[in-house]
Amino acid sequence: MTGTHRQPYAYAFVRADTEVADGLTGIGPQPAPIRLLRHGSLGVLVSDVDLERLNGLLDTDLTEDGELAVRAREHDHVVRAAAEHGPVLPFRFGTVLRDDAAGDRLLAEHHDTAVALLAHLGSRQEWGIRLRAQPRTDDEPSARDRGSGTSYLASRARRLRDLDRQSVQARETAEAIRQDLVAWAADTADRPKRDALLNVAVLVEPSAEDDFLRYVGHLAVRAADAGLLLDVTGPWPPYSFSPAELEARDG
Amino acid sequence: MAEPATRRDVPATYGTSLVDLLDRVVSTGVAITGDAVISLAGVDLIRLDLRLLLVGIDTAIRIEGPT
Repeated sequence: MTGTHRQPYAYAFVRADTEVADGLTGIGPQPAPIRLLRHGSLGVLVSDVDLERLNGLLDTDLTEDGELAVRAREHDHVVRAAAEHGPVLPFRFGTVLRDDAAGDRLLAEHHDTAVALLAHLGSRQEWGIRLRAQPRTDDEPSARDRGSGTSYLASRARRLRDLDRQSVQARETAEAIRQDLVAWAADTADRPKRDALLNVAVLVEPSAEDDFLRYVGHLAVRAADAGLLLDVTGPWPPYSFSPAELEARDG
Repeated sequence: MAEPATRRDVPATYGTSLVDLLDRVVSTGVAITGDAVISLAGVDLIRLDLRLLLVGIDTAIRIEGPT
């Protein structure tokens, strides 16, 4: 890897006729203008980066002002700006091409697949729906309420049974809500659940946004009845609907 | 972004945290493999770190929602 060399950092596949806003710049401490490489009806948005300047992201702390957060926001900003002018198929953070010729091969190789995916996504945006258990307030009975050893054990057993029942009910509600979302939207994608009971991405046409949020409002009420908290994030570019992997060979 | 019509009425929370952003930008999107691509040094490790980190991290750090 050479220090002074600048390479094209790739943000997203777009249609070749996508307008690039004047003055739009890319990622990095000295951001370069966004360029559009084209092949047939497919384009890829790039900006030249100095790899050396982008290294060291691993050492960054995960704070709002940490370098990783700043760079990730810059990446997101370019993708969003492009999405205002047409469909986008975002690349994963950190995709740096060897040179423009490699970009051209990438475009040629994935032309038909990417063009079809862009047409499929259209102007739809991604929303994230997540369900979590609400923080509990009625935990262990306090020492004062425990009474005799026997009644403490009885109340503890009762409490464990309640927790069990609640967690079954919570899981069932989460699954029912997932199925309703899948039925409502033409496209959904499961995201890693981590500590949540449900984490789903939904593609929504901007014109259907109000309907969608109203519907999510109903789901949130249902979730709350089952002791779950629903949270909504969005709109996002369709990050969760981009294919996980595409191969690009050199030469 | 328009204020969601239902915001006042439902027990849902809205907003985008740094974790939500990183979780999408760093962990999803098209991954190009093959030798036409140079990975940013350390990015794969970041991904690994994030996986571990995101399990435990809460969403207390909130940033402005996307506009």
